[in-house]
Amino acid sequence: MKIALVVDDSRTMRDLTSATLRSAGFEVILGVDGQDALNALGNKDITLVATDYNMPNMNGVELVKALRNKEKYKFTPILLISTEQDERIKQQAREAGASGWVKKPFEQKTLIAAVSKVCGLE
Amino acid sequence: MDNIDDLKEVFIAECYEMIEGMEKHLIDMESNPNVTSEVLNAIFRGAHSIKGGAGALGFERIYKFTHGLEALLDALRSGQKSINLDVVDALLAGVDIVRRMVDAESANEMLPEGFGRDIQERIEKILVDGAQTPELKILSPEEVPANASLEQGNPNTITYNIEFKPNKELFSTGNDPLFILKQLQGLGKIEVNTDLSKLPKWDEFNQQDCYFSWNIILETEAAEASIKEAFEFVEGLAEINISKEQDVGKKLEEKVDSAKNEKKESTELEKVKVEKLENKVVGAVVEETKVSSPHTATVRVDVDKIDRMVNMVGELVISQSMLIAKMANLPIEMQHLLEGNLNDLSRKTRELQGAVMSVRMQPVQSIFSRMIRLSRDLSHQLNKPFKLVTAGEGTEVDKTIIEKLSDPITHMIRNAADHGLETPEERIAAGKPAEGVINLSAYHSGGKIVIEIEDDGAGIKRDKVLAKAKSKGLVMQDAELSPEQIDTLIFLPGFSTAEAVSTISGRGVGMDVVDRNIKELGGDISIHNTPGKGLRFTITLPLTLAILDGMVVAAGAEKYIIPIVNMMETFRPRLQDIQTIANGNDLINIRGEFLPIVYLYDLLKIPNAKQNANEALVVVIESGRNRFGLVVDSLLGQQQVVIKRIDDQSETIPGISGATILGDGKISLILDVSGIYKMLNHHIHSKPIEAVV
Repeated sequence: MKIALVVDDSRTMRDLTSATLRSAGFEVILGVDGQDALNALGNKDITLVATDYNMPNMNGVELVKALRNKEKYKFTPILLISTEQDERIKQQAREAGASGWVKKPFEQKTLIAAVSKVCGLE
Repeated sequence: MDNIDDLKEVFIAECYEMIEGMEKHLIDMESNPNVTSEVLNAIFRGAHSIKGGAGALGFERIYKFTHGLEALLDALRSGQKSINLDVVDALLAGVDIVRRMVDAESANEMLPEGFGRDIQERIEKILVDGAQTPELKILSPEEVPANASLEQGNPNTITYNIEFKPNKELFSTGNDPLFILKQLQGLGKIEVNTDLSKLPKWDEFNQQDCYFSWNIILETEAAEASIKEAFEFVEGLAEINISKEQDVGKKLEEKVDSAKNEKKESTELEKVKVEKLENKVVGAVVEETKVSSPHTATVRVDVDKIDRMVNMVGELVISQSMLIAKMANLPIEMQHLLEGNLNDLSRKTRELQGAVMSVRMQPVQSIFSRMIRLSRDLSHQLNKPFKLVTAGEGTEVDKTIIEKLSDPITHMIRNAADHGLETPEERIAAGKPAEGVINLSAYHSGGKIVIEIEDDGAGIKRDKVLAKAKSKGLVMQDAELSPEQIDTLIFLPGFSTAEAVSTISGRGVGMDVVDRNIKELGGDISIHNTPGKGLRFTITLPLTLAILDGMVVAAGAEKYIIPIVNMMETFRPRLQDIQTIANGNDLINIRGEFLPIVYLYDLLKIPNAKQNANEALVVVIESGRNRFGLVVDSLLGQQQVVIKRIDDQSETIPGISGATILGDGKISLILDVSGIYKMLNHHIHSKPIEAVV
């Protein structure tokens, strides 16, 4: 069973990302910000994380760092979603240990392509 | 959520939320010179979210306009531009435009060409004016001059030689070479050779490190860009060499290498500049604790469906009351048999009713944020600096009540700003701070919702009010009224204290209109006046419009319902505790405190009722912040009652707020306690009322 953790403070984006991932066979756990995502995640087994960058309480990069700090999620594929202006963010994400990134706004197939690069689609 | 229309609705709802939030912060900023980075970030995120959603769903106009807002907000939050009132004003104007655009999308309307252009230009001008050229010139990978010469557009297959040498720590980013290889496999014919030479001995082996590298031969029609794309996420984490099996191979390798070096350099440059900028920012703004946002899963439901459910539960309550009433006529043994289950049923119905009603509850925040915006505009228009302070925005109120509360609250705030608050000069002369304050708060109390509007203005001038009431014949010439009674005179129809018809408040926005609006919601409004210091209105509303916990009381042969939430205590007074006042209401002495009392039979002209309080019962009633005693014959018992409004008359019956069907099938009238209190003060019940059946 493939499970994705989808984190974004925008409901529209959460819905869009979830719908896309569900169509690719994922079940989805949602979070509205980094802290909320960690709470929702607990200690569950997940296949993938797709997180926004700009969020209150704990942003995407901080979430990546927090996840990488946990033994269980050290190697979990994490995609960071951010807008084109944020090239610095991409660098921060990489340093924090993110697997890859998706530019926002994205087409569904772009997200799927990124997902297949980091965790496959079977 | 795969339906595109559903997504649009979600997006629109979210836009309004963001807009509300941004507006609130911006208005706060106008009066608060210490702008925290958290606030700036929050406003930025609002624009960012709207832009993101608009882009994802194809709302071009909103996307483009918000893009400009976001750019300015980004510059503000990073310290590149400084905030001043003009900037805030421009941003507020921008938020207005976004709101109008979202309104248009929601109503499927087209806005005129170039809508919002002037504001957009204003924002751009601020951004450009005297702006430091951004120190970061960010090179995106596409700009790196590596691939330009490699795109051949060759329709035939080319064989590529790909060297993929991951760094040891490649796994730590959650990347897995397997998927990259799979992606390459999808591009054509592939041969993979794994280099195991770096694999250490067992005792040195760390399973978190990547020791393998690969040499891949790929025959593909795809352009080299597609191959590079497979490695998108591991750039910098691995050595990647792609060459065609041609002489050109070497040259291309060199180009790729030099391009990679260039990118490395620019990345270094970025790092240094980011640090410089960050130091500037930390010095310029103040840090504050972060605010969390609530997370709810939602379902969209037709309001009609909910209303139908509410009605059905109402009917259920009536049926259940009838059951219980009939049970009382059964022999005792049967009663005992049925009691347990019927009580159970009662309790469950109550729970169901609570659950159904709560579906319709919404926080008052939507009204409060509108009031904040209104106050800011009023303050500018009237040249009276004042602040609206809100509390309890999260308090939940029935949806139908919310919609109807907007007008009365708007009126009261307008009145407070226009007539209540003095001009800054007057305030300073009176020893008050020049900036006025209006407090708007909401909270639950004793099964009711309370909304308070309090200003620190001049209050109501009682002598003026009394004189006016007398001159309009609303009060008898020789009447002596207590201060509190004078204050409630403003609720009388046809009363207006505005000297001139001001353009702000419009023609005589009388408190009687407000009173009637609140009454229609089953609530009541009371007033607390401190001349010179301020004025406070307290609105109490029932939690639900439909069902009421009532106490059935008898007077003569008639039965009436008093809402339980208004009942404080009941007792039979001694003769010596009753005081009769000429030309006034009788008073009752309760533990040293004197309360006015009203005789129900007298109020409603009920025949054959007990006339003396000491032979009857006094029910102490609390209405808003006012208390009085109501004299009835007896209490008959508690009952859950479904309120049926007495529909559509030109004149409502004073003292009555609705009707219901009792368990025995008969109709009983529900008493309007706040109306009765007001009648207490004005002796209006001298107007003859037909005996009510």
